[in-house]
Amino acid sequence: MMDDDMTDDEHTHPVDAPEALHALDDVVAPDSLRLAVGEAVAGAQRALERRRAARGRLWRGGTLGVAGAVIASLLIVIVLAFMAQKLIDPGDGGTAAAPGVRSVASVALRAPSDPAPAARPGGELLTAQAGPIAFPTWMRAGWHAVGARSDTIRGYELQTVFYADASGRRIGYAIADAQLPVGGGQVVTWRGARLRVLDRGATSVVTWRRDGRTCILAGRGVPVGRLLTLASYAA
Amino acid sequence: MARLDPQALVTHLDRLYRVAWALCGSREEAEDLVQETAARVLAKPRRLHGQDELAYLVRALRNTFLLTRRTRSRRPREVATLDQVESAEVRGAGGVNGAAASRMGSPAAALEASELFAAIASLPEEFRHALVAVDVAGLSYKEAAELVGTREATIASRLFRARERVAQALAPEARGEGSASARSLR
Repeated sequence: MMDDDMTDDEHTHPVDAPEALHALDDVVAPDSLRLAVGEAVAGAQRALERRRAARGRLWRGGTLGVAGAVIASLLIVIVLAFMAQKLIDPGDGGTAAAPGVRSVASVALRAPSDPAPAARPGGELLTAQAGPIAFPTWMRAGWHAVGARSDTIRGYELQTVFYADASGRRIGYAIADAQLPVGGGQVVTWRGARLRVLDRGATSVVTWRRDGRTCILAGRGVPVGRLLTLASYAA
Repeated sequence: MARLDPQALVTHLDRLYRVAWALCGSREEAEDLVQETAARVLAKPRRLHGQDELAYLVRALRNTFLLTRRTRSRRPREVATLDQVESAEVRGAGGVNGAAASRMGSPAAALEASELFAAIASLPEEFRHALVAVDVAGLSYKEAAELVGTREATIASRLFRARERVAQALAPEARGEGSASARSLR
């Protein structure tokens, strides 16, 4: 019955949209969402303009033959770089010496081994820090610290703080004391911050660099948009 | 072929937010859904394939909802309580984090909207998608039929029943029986 066409009764006695539905037109997006989407759109438009400008310069600056030669050279470089990376890449963007961001992200999804760090006066930052970078409380965004852990992966120090929101979703924010190699993913500009999103199925991973360190934010079942917004506060 | 202007996300943001809220039944999840959709749409240039910008964005939002709801549906559904609505009103008045409630005149009006969205979200899926496409997103029957993947006549039928159920749920006697979250429209 659900997919049937209208009955005679439905044709002769149509039900108008309930009056209350019209009231929904008064519901507008909250300012925080408007700001986040507006900045994401502005970032995308800037990236688009840069690409257009680059294309324009390419066409203005030379003939098709020159452009073809450049493209061919780039392709060769990309192929060589890809082959070289395959020789030393253990599979997650890392090298034989340094772990990749993807493998480090798995640490951010482990269970905490230490209690949650306390908040500093002011409430914006936690007492935990990795080098010069203090971990945020993210309390204003609806998250709170629930634990922490310290790891050493192939000689690199990794500090992680875990957060949870009111609905029980958990995320891990890990900071490595080096600029770890990262392969794949997509670079996006979110609220003015340049971030890289890695697709790991049900797990969302966002990574960025700050003060010579690699920051990784990961969570299962947490929308990537939410991670991007949190990351943009910390980047 | 025309490309989607990223600015369309800003132009249609309010409508997308309402559609997301109606699909999720929760304001917080609606914000997540819109942000997720924006991230996906902006990841690369998009072609409209003859569609209207709004229809394209509503389709992207619906696809993102369907893609992510499996994991989200395992979590308990959040329906705004009066306390949440009132606290959102206070936040909005302070200008720190404006919420929908803050733009609706009063907490009572915001609560009505919250109940209405919860009522829509409680509809059986086929009815909900028809009502959201036509009454919340403002698409034509033809666009709604293309979105849902059915015929216009089926959209009309589902819309008829969806409106009827929402009207029943919002009737004074139904409202007196309990909160929107407690009522089932199935």
